[in-house]
Formats: sequence, structure tokens, C-alpha cells
Amino acid sequence: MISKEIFLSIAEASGLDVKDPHMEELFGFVTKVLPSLRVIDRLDLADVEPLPTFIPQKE
Amino acid sequence: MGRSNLHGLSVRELGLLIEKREVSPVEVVEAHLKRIEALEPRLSSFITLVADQAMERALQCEKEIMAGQYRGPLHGIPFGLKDLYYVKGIRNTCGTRIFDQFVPDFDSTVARRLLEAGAILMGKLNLHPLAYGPTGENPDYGDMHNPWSPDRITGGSSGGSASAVASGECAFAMGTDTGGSVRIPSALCGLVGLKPTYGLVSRYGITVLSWSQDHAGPMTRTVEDCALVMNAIAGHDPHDPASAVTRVPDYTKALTGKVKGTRIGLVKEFFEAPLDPTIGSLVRKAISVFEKLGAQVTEISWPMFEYSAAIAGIIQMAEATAYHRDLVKKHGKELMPMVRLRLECGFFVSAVDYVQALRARTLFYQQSMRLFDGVDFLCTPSVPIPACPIGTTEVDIAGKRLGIIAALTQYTRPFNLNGFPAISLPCGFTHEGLPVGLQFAGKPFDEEGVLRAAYAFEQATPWHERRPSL
Repeated sequence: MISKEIFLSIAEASGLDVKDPHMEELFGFVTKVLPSLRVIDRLDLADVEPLPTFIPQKE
Repeated sequence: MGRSNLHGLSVRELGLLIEKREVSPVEVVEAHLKRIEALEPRLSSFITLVADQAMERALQCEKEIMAGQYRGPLHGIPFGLKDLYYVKGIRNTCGTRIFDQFVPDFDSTVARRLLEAGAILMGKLNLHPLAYGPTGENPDYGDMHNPWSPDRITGGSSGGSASAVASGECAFAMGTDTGGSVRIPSALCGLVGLKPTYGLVSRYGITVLSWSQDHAGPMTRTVEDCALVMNAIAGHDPHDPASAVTRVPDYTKALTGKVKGTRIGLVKEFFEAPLDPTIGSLVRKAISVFEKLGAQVTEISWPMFEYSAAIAGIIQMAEATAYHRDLVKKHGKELMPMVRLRLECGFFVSAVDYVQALRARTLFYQQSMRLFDGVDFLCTPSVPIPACPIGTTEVDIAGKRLGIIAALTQYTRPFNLNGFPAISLPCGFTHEGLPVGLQFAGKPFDEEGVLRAAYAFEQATPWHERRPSL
């Protein structure tokens, strides 16, 4: 769960206008969406490398 | 078929009439322009109509054909491009007023290949803004309307492409598919929509959403039409860094109608996910059609299916925000609110999250390949619900409440993540008369097999013959 303080810090570093009232809506969205993606933390990725260029192979 | 019904003919049917000089491309284009004039106020399929250019081009095609310079089955056929395919001299809005005046100075490879094949561009088609959403709603250029029930969504993001083809405004159209954006609107509008293998069709000159998950694909009324369009657009393109070097066959030769002995896998996790009972029933009936045709149907398991939405979602958010970062910072307030939120959310995906998702994708890809050790194809529903009313944000599926984005993309997204070919085609209608889609997925670069199976089903069923009563 991202704190409001960290949220605002990242938002500012990303170039978003942290004084915009819209930040409240974005904070609600981010705190709802990002935790739902944490499901991938359950995967065992030991010894798994990212595909540097993703192109499916024919065989 | 009288000439007043030219807009109702398939690409193949129109092509044969044009080749035999029984119909002129000028008559074909005029018929489609009349259809567009009559229906556009209700459908909003187009963002930019190029009627004058289309007529000029039709005259040129007519001269070529009369001079014996027939180019092939797309010569003189009217088509539309989702408004993120660059065409030199025609504005490319990507579905947002921010780009209302942007005019590219070169052609996307797909547009160039279709124009070289003699197809006639009718215009640029409406889409969910920036292709970042699966409903086909657009506050800037008007919501797209489903020809089967105009108060309902077309699905997206290639919603204008779907409504244009389903209604007879174009004989075929091109869409793009990053999480299902060809297959979802094809399913909801009763069309055939193919997401080819990643790398088979060039992405050059198409506005990016997610580099590693974007695919260009045709949307047609029949499987044969889909094969004809693939013949024109598939193949290596040095301008696209992900373009594969591979043999491109004549896809129409795969349409034998035979599936005897074909091994079809039913992924049990797909049927355990939230699924409208009517759609589940129609898909099971479709599977029984394959059994009657001699296919062997086996239930298989895809354990990583449950992770696909999260893996694909992280990759898409990071890539979409990286591509559109300046746009969202400068013009965020001008964007559709949900598109803005999704783009801004990408700033909060860390580099570590992104690389972890890429590592997870490696596992997902490996497991996807192993699925095909025992089967030739996977057969699934395309979308778990029929078209819902425009403005719907959440849906109840078999007692489970889901956001509309998650619901619409749950069956299509896995094939953007692994890059495998997947096609949606009609497999029936709900009691309300709304189309239902069946999805077929195959091994990488086995478009021939996917089209063969889809064609066999299509020829054994009547669903592709129905047209919306507009």
C-alpha cells in the first residue's frame, strides 16, 4: 500500500501537478489498482530472465 | 443479389464481381458511401471520411481493371482504418481532439500494402481514445454504437472498425489489439477478428499503446475475407524492429473445411472464470460442432491464466505511460478521464515491477508453449458478456461484480501477453439478439491452422449470415 506522502513524491518527480485537486482521484485509483497487480509476487521467478526482445519463435 | 445490396456483400463476393467486370469499383464505393450517409448519425463509426478521395480512387481502379491491370481480390474493395494507422495526408487523431490537426507525412506499412493491393480507403475509424480502453466510448468524437443494438457498446478499442464492417459501411477494416481490441469488438458486433502472431504484421506507422503487446489485425464478416486481407498485410517489414522473418503462405489455401483429427484444448480455468451462462452455453454448443466434425476435444489446465491480467497490466501501464508521458503531463485534462487515470497510474509502476512482469512473462510464454504439446488449438469464449449498455462501468457476471475493463479483456489478454495468434468469430446470439464470439488460439505463426479451424466452424453454422437490421 503506497502512502499519500510517497504518492505525492512520485507524482511530483514524474512531473504531475501535485496541487491539482485531481490528485485525490488519482491517489484513489493508484491505491486500488496497484495492489491488485501484486499477485505476480506469488510467482517463483528464481533463475527466470526477462526476454530481452519479445518475439515468439516459430518452434 | 441486386446492385442495391452491394454493401452487404463480402470482400470475396465483391472481388469476384469486380474481377468479372460485372460491377465497377465506382458502383461499389457509391453504395458504401450511401450506407455511410444513412447510418453515420446513429453509429459514429468514422472520425474522418474521405469520400472524394475514395471516389477518385474508385475511378482509377475502374480504369486499371478495364485496361486489364487487375491487381487481385482486394482491388476496388472499400475499407477503413482505425484512426491510429498513419496515412500520408490524412489526419490521425488517435481518438482524441489533442491530435485533431495532426497529419502524418508517410503511410503505415499496413496502409501502404492495402493500397498497393488496390483496396479503396473510405476513411479513418473511431476508437476508444488512444486505444486505451475496451468499450468503444469516446467523448471527443462520439461514442461508437453497436449495429445490433445501438444503445449498447461496440466494444473496443477498435469500435468504429467493428460498427463500420458490421453495418456495411466498409467491406473490411483494420483494428489494433493490445488487450483484445480487435477480438472484443468483433465478438460484440458479430464479426471475424484476427490478432495475428506478434511480429507477423507490421506495426510501423501505427500509434503505440504498448510496444510489446500491440498487434495489427483485420476485422471482416467472414473467415475467408480475413484470409484475403492477411494475404495482403502479412510479412516482414524492416521498418518494424519486432517484425519476424517468416514464410507467408496463401492463407486462403488453408480453408479446407476439414478439422477431422484436430486436437482442441478447452482451458478449464477459462470456464471457471466469471462467464455469462448464456455465453457459456453457446460456446459449449460450438465445441460440440467441432466434435461432430471429427475434432478431438480435451480439457486442459493453464495454471498461469490467473496471473495473465496482472502481468499484462503492469507491462501495458509502464509502456503506455512511457510512450505518452509528455502527452499526459501537458494535456491530461483534455483526455477521457479513465484514459488519463490509467496513463498517470503508469508513473507509479516501478522499474522493478516492470522487470518482474517481464520475467513472469517468460514463464507465461514457456507454459503457453507447453499447452500445445497435447493439443493443436485452444478454444475459449471471446468475451464473457454480451454487449452492455453504453456507460456501463461494472457488470455482474454469474453473481460476481467486475469492472468493465477486467471483464471484457479476461479471455483475450493472455494472447497479447504470449503473442500467439487468436481469432474471434460468431458462435450464436443471445435471446436479445446480441452476437456472441468464440475464440480460437494457436501456436505462434500457425495462422493457417487457426483460420482453417475457424472456417470449418463457420461453414458448419449459420451465424455469419445474419446481419443487423439497421
